[in-house]
Amino acid sequence: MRHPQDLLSGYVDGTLSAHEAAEVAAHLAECPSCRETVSDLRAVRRLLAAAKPPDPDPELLPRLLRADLGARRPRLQLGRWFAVAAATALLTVASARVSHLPPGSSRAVQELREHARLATRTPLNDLGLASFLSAFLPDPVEDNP
Amino acid sequence: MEAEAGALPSQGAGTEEARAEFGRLVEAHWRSAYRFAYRLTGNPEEAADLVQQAAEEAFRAFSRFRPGTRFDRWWLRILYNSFVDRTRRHRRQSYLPLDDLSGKLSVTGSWADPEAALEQQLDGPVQRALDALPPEFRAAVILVDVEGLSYEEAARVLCCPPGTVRSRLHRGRLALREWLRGYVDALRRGELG
Repeated sequence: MRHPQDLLSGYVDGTLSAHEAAEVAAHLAECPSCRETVSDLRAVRRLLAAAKPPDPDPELLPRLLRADLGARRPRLQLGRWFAVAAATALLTVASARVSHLPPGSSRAVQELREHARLATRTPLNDLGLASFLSAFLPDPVEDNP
Repeated sequence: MEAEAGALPSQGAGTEEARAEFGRLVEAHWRSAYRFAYRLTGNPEEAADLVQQAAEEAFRAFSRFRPGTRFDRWWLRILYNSFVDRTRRHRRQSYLPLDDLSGKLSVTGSWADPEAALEQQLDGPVQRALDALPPEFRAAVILVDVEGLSYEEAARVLCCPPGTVRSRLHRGRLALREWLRGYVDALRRGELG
């Protein structure tokens, strides 16, 4: 067997099938370097379990229990769409202006102009605009599995 | 797996009962949500903010929470999605390449010295090492090694197959092993813990 790679972590965690575990055990019997890795992996696991994060600020719980208030705020529904419309308009105008810059020597300017030309044509396909807008659009929340 | 008590009728999030139930569940699980957030962000304020955001999102989506399944896992998943979203927006942090096993991190600071290691709390060094992992590897390591989730549970939180959890976990641990070399060796010699 070749070095079992991530099967070693599975071995340490006891998540392998009986067949896989037997194969790894047979390999370990012959491979000092994998035995070393297994001992290290166990040590890493213990370190992580032993480290204690600081306690949360006790003020956090009352804030969380008011989460429903935050969630019920008629949060920026109008404001959000206004921001989207304004951003689209602004970027379209800005892009149009940039695309009419005189020919420059800088490669960056040329690339910007090319980008602006494309962005002006199809503002909603523009990556920069999309990432800007993502700050305003609601996050998708998925169902629980 | 332990199921949540207090099954809700399938009502919307707006009713009083739903709000009370949501509060009860948050109160039962906020500490583990905070631990996960703290380990992900490495920063108490950011962790608190992330938990708060995840609580608001969870409340808005609460009508879709299935009673009888684990609220904490569901909340962690929402929290993780919010975290990923944030790291995409503010890509301020640089991660060490996982293949860089030169132990770069472990030589910085006095905590690389096993003698000092004995007296210091582990939290700082462990957190700094976690911070240097790319987020998806960090999350797998935290869920399994800190929170004690099974691969399957971690896979549901991270929305990936269990095999991916195992490989991320393994690569993450190998990097941590080098970055925390002084501690790993001290632990193996029986000088720690």
